[in-house]
Amino acid sequence: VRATGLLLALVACGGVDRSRPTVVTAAPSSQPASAPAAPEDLPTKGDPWKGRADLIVPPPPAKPAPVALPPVVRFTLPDGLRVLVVASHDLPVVTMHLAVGAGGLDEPKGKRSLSDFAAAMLTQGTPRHSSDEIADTMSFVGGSLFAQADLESTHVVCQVVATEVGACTALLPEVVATPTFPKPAVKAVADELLAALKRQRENGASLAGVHLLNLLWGEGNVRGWPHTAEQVAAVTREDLVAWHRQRFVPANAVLAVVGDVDPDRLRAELGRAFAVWRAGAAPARKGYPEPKLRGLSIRLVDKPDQAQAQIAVGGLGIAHRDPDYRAALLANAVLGGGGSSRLAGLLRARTTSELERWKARGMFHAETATGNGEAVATLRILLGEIARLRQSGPTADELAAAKSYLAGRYVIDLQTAADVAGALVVAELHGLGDGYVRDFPVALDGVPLDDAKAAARKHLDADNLAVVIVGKADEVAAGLDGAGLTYARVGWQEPVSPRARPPRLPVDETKTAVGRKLLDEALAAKGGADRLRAVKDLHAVGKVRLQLGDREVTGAWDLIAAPPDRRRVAMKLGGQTLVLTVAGDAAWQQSGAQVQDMPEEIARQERAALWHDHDFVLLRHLDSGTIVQAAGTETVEGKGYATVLVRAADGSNQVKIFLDPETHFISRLTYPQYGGTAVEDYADYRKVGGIWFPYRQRAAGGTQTIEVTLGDLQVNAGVPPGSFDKPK
Amino acid sequence: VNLVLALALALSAPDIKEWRLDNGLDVVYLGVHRTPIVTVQVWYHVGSKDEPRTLRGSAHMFEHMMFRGTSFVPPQAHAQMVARVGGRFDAQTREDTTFYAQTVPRQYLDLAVHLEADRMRNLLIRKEMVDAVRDLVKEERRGVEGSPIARALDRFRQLAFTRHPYGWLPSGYAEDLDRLRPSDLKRFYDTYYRPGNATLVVVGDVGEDEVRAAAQRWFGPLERGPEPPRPSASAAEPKQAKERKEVVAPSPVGVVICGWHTPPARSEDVYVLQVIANILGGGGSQRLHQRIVRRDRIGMFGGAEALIFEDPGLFFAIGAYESPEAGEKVAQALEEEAERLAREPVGEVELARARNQLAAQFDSGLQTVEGLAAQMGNSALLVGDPRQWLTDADRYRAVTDKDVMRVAKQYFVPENLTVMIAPPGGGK
Repeated sequence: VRATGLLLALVACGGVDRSRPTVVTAAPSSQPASAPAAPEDLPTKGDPWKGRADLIVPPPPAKPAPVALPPVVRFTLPDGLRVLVVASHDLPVVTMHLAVGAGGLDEPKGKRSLSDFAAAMLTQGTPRHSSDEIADTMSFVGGSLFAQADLESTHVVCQVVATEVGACTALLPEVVATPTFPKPAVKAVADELLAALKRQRENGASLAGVHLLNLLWGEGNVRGWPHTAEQVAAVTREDLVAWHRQRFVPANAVLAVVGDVDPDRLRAELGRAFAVWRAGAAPARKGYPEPKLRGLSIRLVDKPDQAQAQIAVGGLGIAHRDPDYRAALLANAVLGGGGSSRLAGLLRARTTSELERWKARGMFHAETATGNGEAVATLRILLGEIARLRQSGPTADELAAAKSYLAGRYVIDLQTAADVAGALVVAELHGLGDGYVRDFPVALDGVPLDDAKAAARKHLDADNLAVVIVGKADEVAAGLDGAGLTYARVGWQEPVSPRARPPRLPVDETKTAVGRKLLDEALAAKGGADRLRAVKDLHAVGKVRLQLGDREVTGAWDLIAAPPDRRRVAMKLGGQTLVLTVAGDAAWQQSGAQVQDMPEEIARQERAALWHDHDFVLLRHLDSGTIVQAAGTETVEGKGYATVLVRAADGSNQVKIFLDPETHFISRLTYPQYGGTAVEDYADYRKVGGIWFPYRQRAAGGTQTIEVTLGDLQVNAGVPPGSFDKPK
Repeated sequence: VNLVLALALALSAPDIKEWRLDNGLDVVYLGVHRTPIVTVQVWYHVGSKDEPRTLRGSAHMFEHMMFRGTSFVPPQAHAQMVARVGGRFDAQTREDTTFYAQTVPRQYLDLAVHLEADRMRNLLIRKEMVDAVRDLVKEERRGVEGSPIARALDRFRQLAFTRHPYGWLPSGYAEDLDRLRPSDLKRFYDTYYRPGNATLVVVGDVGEDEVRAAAQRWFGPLERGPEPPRPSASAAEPKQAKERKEVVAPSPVGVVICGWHTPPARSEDVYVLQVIANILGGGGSQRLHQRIVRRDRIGMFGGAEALIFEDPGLFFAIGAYESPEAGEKVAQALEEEAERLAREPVGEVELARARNQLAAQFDSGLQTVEGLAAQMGNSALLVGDPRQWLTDADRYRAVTDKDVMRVAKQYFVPENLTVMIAPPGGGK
């Protein structure tokens, strides 16, 4: 009898399970067990376990056993595809795992999302089946088919019960060999990727990872090029088709099939199914120079909402094929990758270190979190322990524990058909063979202490590392300055790549003077500072058109603003009214009867939008400490505009203002958003109460656009009572 | 299209061994030699239905307490010992059972059995530990409180079960948790955490002799203890005579639940009910979603689930909605869709999809030693036979359109129905 199972669906609706499992993974608590005081049911006081010889202790680590992997049958299909089959008749399922050598390392500089994009598109349609038909077929047999790219490969995995293996034999070759990349799906996938990118940038830990890649690998290596919203938006259907045509060829792929199958029959069926695949040679993977790290390179990413600072440290690792790989893996397990690692014992927050496992040389990295004020002290502990391990290596006991942990973990994680298929594919791609999978635990056990020490010495370079701290920069900076450490400071919304960031301000007194003059002229043309400052409230109504990827909606627009810190926008779209309100520190959104606080990051964006609001941004350079720089003339659609960079004194906000040379009105504003650049355009200025307001407004970012055409605008007409009150 | 597929698997007749120690502990063993690992699970025949009515959450407390120190194992050391050899552990409280599990390399079989035997009788129930676990359990309970759907289900269970302890959830309730004293928990422990009330399940790359030896060595000396009381035996749910309907306090989103009493796990009908739950609410393309979200556009979610318990259980259909006036319409849609199954035969494709999905989900779970052991433990405790699950996939696949009609006709009748409407507009 099966336990109940609707709950996944309920979670999508906000439900939770009735009886939640407590502990699922084996991550041990990094905090020492607290000693109980005065136990009620015991005669003893204090620690009832202290100094006892009769406690249960684990036996000494045991010799690991090899994996009882059935023989691997290998053959090559007529088109050149290498196939590995493990017929395991006691598994009631089949997993087919195909990997194509097309991954992040192959992406061109301006299109860093291509591999993810193409992978997501594979199941979106073929000449024979639409995406719905593919999904229906898999759903009908209770199976799954998905594709995903990583750094080196695109993986396409199909899983079914053994009796339905035909679904995989038919569909997997079809989606790999003949995807049609339908246009509507391109837009939908772009939106998903942009949403994922946005989530990645909003999360402190993953943002630290993004910056670490850039800082460590640099601008000269594909791994250092960050993914951006612009790059996702720039991917066209033609790019996807070309990517697939060049790299998705049988000679550049390997297929592992594991489960209850008959290898001979499978061979015939796969031969027929893969006959549609066009043979050819994939271009060789481009090589990049390895980064040269000298000393500590520290980047401080200011994200003021971080209650805790996220710390990520990275250096170069080694390739999976490197003869030192196992020894280095064990050294890393002692440091922070094992069940009882040094870092877990030293630091309270969950701290881990990892040695990447790629065919190419990967990286070594460690992560932790700590209070903003303690970030530097924690960093010192982290770096200190890396240095100590490098110097003296693991002890014999530590090495034995690491072996026992890694060997145990390996065999426990190698149970399902999907686990085995994945391990075989990796071993094959990395040129290690299936014996590697079978013997890994035993080989690990055979690493001598000297080798582990040598690997620590050779591969844990504590002196030359990249360090990223994401947190409240002012608090963290105090610690860094106090320690005499040099660092680069960036805002969390600024582009990750230093090359894409605006130059540091201030840089030039002349440019300041020119910029201020331009802004003064613009302010005068707008109606003057006095008039603008006298605006107590604004009420604008009109029409709005929203473009969200391939979806377009139109509706009514109603804005009430009360400078400097209150704004309410109501959009009536279809039958629904969406209201977004910022009132001082509060920010909420209302959809129908539903009222909820805006997520903190969105609220911050909204407050930033008040700072660079197009109607009042010309007052900003009059604020104390604001940095102003003329930024030259830029041409938009054939017309030249004078541009001025304006940055808040605390660096929290920045905007580039494009001024019409004839009218001096603002024509465009650009500012950093989610690692990309948001663009706002303004036109059709009309005079109300002595001030010129743009009646046509347009904002774009990623694949999203919003256009507003005002019908009426009133100044100081009074704010309707309750406009900024949060509904109960 | 496959109709009834006999699974040609070695697993269809695995060599499950079972025996009972003198103290009453049932041992179930299955050798699986794919990878050199073993899972050791202890399934206690105790769950939320065995709790005193004023101390709901007692069973759940143990799920956490059992990791926090015995006479011979300091707090958290059990979990650490397992984790350090690369192992993983788990524990879960349900209505009828509580289980504890660890999976380790096979060389650590004896350690795992030793740790489980130790915490069966040697748990140190200390005030500090109880207070800390109480806070943790209350925090988990807040998860239920924070979810409109979970809260509605909680309320609904209280309406549907007027007498039987399935009326409350295993998560526990703050007011009862606050009332729990260490002595209450000690009494519960001494009553239910006994060899005669548990099944030791061992699955993996170990031999029967090793398992017999380890079980005897560590569990053998434990005292059997008295037969535990079964409060639910004298709290059978009275047969419902007419439809019950209640509008309860508003919820942040509107929720309607329609539920019908169903037979216990031993009944063959539970397979049909699970197929029906899949047809009505298994996912995006299933009937309730189609009706409520797509066709009628009266709500934002539709689903269904069969709660299969040792005692008679419950089938429920659920809808969530926003517009205050939609409540009755959603209720009507849920009832109609359930009752339609009694009138119109289900299409072959729709039925086959449901059967396939259930069977596939079931089969996938059998790939791991943990999954196999869980089926054996669950079967042993709920239906008294650790082999019953072996035929589950076939039973799902054997469900016909006639079965669906018969079962729908039998259970989805107004006199067996409880309807609860929690209108939208409530606070969080």
